Amino acid sequence: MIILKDTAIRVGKKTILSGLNCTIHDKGLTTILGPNGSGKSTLIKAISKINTISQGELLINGKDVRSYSVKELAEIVAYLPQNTKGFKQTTVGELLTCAKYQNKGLFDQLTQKDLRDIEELLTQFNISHLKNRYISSLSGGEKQRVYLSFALCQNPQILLLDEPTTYLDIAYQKELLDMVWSLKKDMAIVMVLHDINQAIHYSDHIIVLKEGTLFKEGLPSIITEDLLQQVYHIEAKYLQDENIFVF
Amino acid sequence: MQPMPMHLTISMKNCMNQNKRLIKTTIIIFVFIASILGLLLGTIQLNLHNLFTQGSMDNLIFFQVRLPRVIVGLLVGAALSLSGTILQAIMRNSLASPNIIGVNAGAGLFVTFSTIFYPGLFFLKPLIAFIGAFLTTLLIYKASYVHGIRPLRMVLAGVAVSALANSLISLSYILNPDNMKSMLSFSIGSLSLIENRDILLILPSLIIGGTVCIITAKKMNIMMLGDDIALNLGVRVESFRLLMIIISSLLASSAVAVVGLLGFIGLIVPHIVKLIIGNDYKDIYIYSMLFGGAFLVFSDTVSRVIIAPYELPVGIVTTMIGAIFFIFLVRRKV
Repeated sequence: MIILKDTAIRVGKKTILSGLNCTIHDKGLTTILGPNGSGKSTLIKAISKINTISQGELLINGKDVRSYSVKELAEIVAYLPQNTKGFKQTTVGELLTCAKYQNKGLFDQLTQKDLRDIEELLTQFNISHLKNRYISSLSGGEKQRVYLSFALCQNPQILLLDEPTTYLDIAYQKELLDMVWSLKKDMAIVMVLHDINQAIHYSDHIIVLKEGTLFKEGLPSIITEDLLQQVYHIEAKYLQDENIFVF
Repeated sequence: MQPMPMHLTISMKNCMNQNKRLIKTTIIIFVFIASILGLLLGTIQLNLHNLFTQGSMDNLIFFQVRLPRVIVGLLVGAALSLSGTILQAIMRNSLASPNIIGVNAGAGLFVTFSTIFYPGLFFLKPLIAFIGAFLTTLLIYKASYVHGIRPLRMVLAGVAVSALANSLISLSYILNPDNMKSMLSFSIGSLSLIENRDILLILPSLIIGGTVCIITAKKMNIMMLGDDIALNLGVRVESFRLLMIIISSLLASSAVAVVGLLGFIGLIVPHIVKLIIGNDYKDIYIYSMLFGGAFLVFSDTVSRVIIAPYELPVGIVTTMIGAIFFIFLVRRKV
């Protein structure tokens, strides 16, 4: 469980988010929404201790994130950034192997169980045939499946996904979100999305940020025409039968 | 995209593994060939029958001149290549190398000053060079640290600090014209005055540096995925980067203490090895050391025979071979 208590988060010396109060439960899919620059990625990075908590608390399983060592946190939280430039020159097999080394000492080697876990993930995501391929040679959909399996290699309790649908066409976006949806029964997933309709359909819980503060949080039903007007300054119309907004 | 048939994937994997094995074997053969050529070729033709005759000229040249020269060449080439490999990795910049980011120049500056003012401090040379390299590195680190290290900012700060150190080295030449020739040789890099005792100057840092690199190779593999990912996978990114910068300074500075400001090896060798050997840093470190050592010994042999009986400083040859090869690679691969 993630609990934010009057939390402020800074990047460098600049405070990006402040006064955050909310709870993210153990299982389920939470989506963070908000305009560009509202602090969505900043919040996700604070949960993975990349950004700094400057005030208040951010508790993971009852313990402040600042008191976790990077190694301890790596056993709980998996983070998939928006920018995966560093992955390009590795093969799928190498990438997954790297993820498995997160809980290893300097002299430890991968165990048979680690290798079995990797094989299982490759099979689960139907990417066994891509094991020796370079990431740069994969299609968008293949990459997303590889990235998800990479994150799951850590056996995380919390999975953080920063705009996972970026650069994907609609078919791949749906495929990815369906996969993420199927994982939520085993872990807490926190995801940044831009698409309001996708957020409504693929979330149990939504957090809306605006100008560095938490604007509203709750069930997907908190997203209304008024909210969109106040947060994004756009006119939207809700089509009840289809459960979508049109802009 | 259609999945690739299983038999194709397997044959591709076998092909890749075979290629890598062939490349690794070729590098090992290159080490042996370069060493044998370095031992046998030179201004004076050795008579192999007299090689083990105590007191003979051939015995003296072989064991007192050529053998230490080849051994030191292998060790210095390995140290510079390893130093460059580390810097290119942690800064994620193919242009990073000990001579480009100022580590060499800092070591060179301290060695130059100590040679002028305290010429008797031979065995302290590596320590003086390391202090110079380390202080320069700290200066670069400090200058480029704004809410964490940005690799590109560090390269740029290094270029500026390197220019400053080089200008001070040039100033010391002007102020000490008597030592101009030996200092010029130092600034280009040369193996011509190598003795057996030089092995002791370079070997400890190569053992320390090589061991740390091999042990932490898995961490370096993870670092290549990006700082955020590495942090999320349990790597203390800033501490690891600082450790590897210290190791890189240690390696480069001991090389500078022995052969002077030998450029290009730390830039070109890691680049070539990464292109041909794959992504695993354990392999990249090992084969960078082997290839770097062989490359320096081969260049040194060329520098001794190309205008025999005269000898070129090896730095001129490494730079010429390296630059041409580099341009060829850039056009083909980038």
